[in-house]
Amino acid sequence: MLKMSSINKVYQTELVQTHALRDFSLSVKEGEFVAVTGPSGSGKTTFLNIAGLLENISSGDFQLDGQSIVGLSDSELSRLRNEKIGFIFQGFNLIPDLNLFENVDVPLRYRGFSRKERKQKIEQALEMVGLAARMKHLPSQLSGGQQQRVAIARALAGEPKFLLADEPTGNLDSLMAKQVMELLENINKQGTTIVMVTHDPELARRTQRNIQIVDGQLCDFTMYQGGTVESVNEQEAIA
Amino acid sequence: MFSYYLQLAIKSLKSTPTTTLLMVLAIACGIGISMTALTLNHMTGNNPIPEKSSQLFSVQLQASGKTSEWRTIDNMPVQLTYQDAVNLMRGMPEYKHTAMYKTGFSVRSLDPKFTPFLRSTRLTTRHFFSMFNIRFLHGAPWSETVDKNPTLQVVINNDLNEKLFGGGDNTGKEMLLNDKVFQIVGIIEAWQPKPKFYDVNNGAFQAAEQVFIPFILSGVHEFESWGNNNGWKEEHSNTYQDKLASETLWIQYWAELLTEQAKDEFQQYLAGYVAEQKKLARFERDDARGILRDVQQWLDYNNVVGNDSYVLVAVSFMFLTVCLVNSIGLLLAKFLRSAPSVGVRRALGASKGQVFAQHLVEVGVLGLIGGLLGLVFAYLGLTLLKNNFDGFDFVATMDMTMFFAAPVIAVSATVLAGIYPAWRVCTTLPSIYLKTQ
Amino acid sequence: MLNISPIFNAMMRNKSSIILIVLQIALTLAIVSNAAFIIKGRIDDMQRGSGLAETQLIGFHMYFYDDAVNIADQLLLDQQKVLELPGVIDATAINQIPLSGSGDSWTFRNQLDSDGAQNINAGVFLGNYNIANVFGHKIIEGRNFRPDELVIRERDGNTPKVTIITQALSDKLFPEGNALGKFIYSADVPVQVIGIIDKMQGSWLHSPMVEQTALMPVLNVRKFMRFIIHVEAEQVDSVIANVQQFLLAQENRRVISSAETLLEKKKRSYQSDKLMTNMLIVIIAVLIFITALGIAGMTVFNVNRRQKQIGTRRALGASRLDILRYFMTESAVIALIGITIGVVLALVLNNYLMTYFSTSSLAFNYIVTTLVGIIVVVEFAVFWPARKASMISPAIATRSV
Repeated sequence: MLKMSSINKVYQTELVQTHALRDFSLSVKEGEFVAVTGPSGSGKTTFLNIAGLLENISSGDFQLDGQSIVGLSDSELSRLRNEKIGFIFQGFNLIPDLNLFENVDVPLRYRGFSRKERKQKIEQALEMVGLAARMKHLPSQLSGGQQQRVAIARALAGEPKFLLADEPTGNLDSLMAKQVMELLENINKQGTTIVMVTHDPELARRTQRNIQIVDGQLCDFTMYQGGTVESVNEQEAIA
Repeated sequence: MFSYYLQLAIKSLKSTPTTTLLMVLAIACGIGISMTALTLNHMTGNNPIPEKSSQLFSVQLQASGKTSEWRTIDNMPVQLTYQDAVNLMRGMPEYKHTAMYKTGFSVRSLDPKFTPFLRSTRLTTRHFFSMFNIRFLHGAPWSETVDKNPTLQVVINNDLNEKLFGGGDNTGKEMLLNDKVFQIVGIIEAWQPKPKFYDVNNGAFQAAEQVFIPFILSGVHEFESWGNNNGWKEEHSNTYQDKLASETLWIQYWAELLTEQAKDEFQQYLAGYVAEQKKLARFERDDARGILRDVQQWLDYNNVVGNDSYVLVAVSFMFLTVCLVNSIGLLLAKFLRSAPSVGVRRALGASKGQVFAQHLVEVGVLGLIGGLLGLVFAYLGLTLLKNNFDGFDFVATMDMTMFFAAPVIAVSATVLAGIYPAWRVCTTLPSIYLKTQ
Repeated sequence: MLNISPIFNAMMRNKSSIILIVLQIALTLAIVSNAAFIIKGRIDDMQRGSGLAETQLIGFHMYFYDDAVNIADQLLLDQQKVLELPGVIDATAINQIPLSGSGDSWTFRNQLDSDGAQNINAGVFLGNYNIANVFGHKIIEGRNFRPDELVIRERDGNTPKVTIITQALSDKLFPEGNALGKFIYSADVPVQVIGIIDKMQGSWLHSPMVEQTALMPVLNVRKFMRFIIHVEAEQVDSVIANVQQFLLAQENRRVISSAETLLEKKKRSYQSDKLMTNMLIVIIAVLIFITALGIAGMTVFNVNRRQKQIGTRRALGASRLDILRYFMTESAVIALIGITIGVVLALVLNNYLMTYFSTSSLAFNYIVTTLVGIIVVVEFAVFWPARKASMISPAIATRSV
């Protein structure tokens, strides 16, 4: 699904040169749920931005769903982003002027679906996160957990193969965080690949695979034994 | 996608009502004022006979004294002497060309109870009507014979026809000009060229004459000129006949020259005449010459539009620029404030081009609203001018060109102004807005 | 002391919006100073005294269409008869009406021999011997016309012998003074200056010769004549209403126009100037308003954007006054840059107007006045948003969202 080979990312300002990712290689298979951890400033965000096609790489190769993205134009990248990637952010990033329906509508609009298709997909997506009844509400009328569920609906409405989550529970209390996490796990079970950046080790532990970024390099690699979602849940239940 | 952008634009403009109002007002004021100035300029700068503009020529002769000074850029007098006009009319019979001047009469029907009123009157030849494409409702111009043998015949326009007779075909009837009985041979449409290009020197925006009589009557009946008489030579001219023989300049002269060759021939004809008059020592200047100017050149030469009008247009367009700069600033601030939403859209798959288009549509909507409101402002402004100033009735009515030009100018100016803010917002990196602060 | 350099650095980081404000201020300065200069010139022109009792002098024209009427006799009779109307002080037939925009001018020489002579144009008003009284002129030097000096001029070449001229014409013809008693020449006809009046504008208000005026006791008999009546203030309306019918009742073989005061004529003559000043005043007013609102709006945005930064500054010990001062100084710096460019622009614009539209050279005090005005407007526009900024609580710095 995701294959990064020897990626380097260098930020150049007038004064300093920062090497955000250094000879970074990572491969994520279809259907995996990967947690990315690492200290502040380690390059997590850069990794996320590159994985999400929001920033270009300085060197190396990056293949998404078997297609190399090196040298693609902005509109080609946008198209890929629209079709293959769903984003979930810590701050939800719902567009405040748009109601839930319209928020979920945004990626579908750029995809060019017909009005009927869009309506059906939006309702389906909101149904899935249990907020179909509130589709005319503005984001500000919702709790944090509800907002994040809308964001998830928005990310999923276009049926992407790959979900990128950036601290999806960072702004939520533990109960809501649990709900959101369960939602993500369900989604993953249905076949969507998820890469989640977090600094919460509890959360990371629930995933099949953990990777850590330190100083722009992939530093640790752990595969939980028997790492199925069910077993993690069991472990937690036991604990 | 356009309808989606349109929805988003309206939502966005609604979400910041104060800023939107400020920008709309700025654009509307800029458009309103510049359109008012432009309309004034456009209407005064109107070419009243575009279909023949380049085939009709005003004739000028440098017939003045050695040291005479005229207000024109080439120091030429704009009118002719009577004798030159009469001399010129004798030649070149293959082309239509005519002398003319303005006089006036008390006008009456033959009914003794009819209260006379004053009407300015043009003395000219029958060519006048066909040269200037004037339509006859009834009858025709007087005949060639009448141009040569003084006959009391008259052509009137339909306004006067209605005032005298209540309208209808009254050719063949008689009417009184002062105490002379004239026979009506033709009734023309209510012809009102604005500006009055054939005699700009006597008020470019005065009404056209309603009465036309043969030029040849001037020498017989001594109808005084009601226009400007410009003298440069010290000569005693007490009687009318003195004046006809004098160097006083008071006659307008026009020629219809349909081809380039005709123009050349007429130009040579003038040159020949000037040479002849120089030999007779009547034309004393070294630069004595004849000049032809077509209608547009003539209007420009006489600065019919006036400097004020151009200054106003210049100032009002600078004003529009300020209004647009003002709007660019506000748009930039507004767009950059909405950058986080743009970041989200980019993440969700909007390309730079789509974000750019979305913002340009918003700017276009703004420009359209501002432009339409500006049109209303311009209309109010022109109405205000019309009500407060005499003689603006015809000037201060927006014609169709201006009516369509205003929104087009408004939208294109605002879109042009919006390119920078839209470009700024679509090129900012989306990633920086996606992180939680 | 005010700390300019951090302000300047902050500005450099926000170039485009600063450039826009600077541009706006510069253009505003250029437009306003030039427009104000044009307006002032026009208003000065319009406020020049005409030397005439504009509201009490009424004028109209008449046209004798019947050759059977003895026009000269009728005009002299009219002049007598019109005195019967209540409120009429004096009247005369005349060849042109002052301030009206149409009339006659002659060229005078100050000596018979045309070589080396001054050739001066003047508006010449031909009326009865009482013409100076009709206009209400005081003869400041010399004397008024005598009845026996009236010349009836039909198509016979009778010429005037005497004239009363304005001081302005006198100064032009005889720069060394002492016009009184001298002869001036129209072609080779000598006319003696017997009196001088202080001031009288002629017919063409936009002509440089507008104050060069001569009066002559000549009844210049034509079919088309004009008439001037001096009326007591409270009777002006009634005379205007009645005079046309009254004179037609004396002799109806003529067409008489309706009468109006010279003030009306003057207004019409200045119409284009009035139009110009009105348009420019509207432009200036709206321009300043829009610029002020624009700058205020931008400051509001800036304050909102920098809320956290302002809170941090406050938390680090900046007082409210410091914050207020920061924004006021920032806008002053921007205004100064804008003004510097604006002065150049104003001169360029003026130069353009001078070259193409022969306006006069812009007096520098217009730039200075506009400049000061703009600083005041800018600071005024910035004050409220800046005050709002100074109210931002330091606590905002520690809040995370």
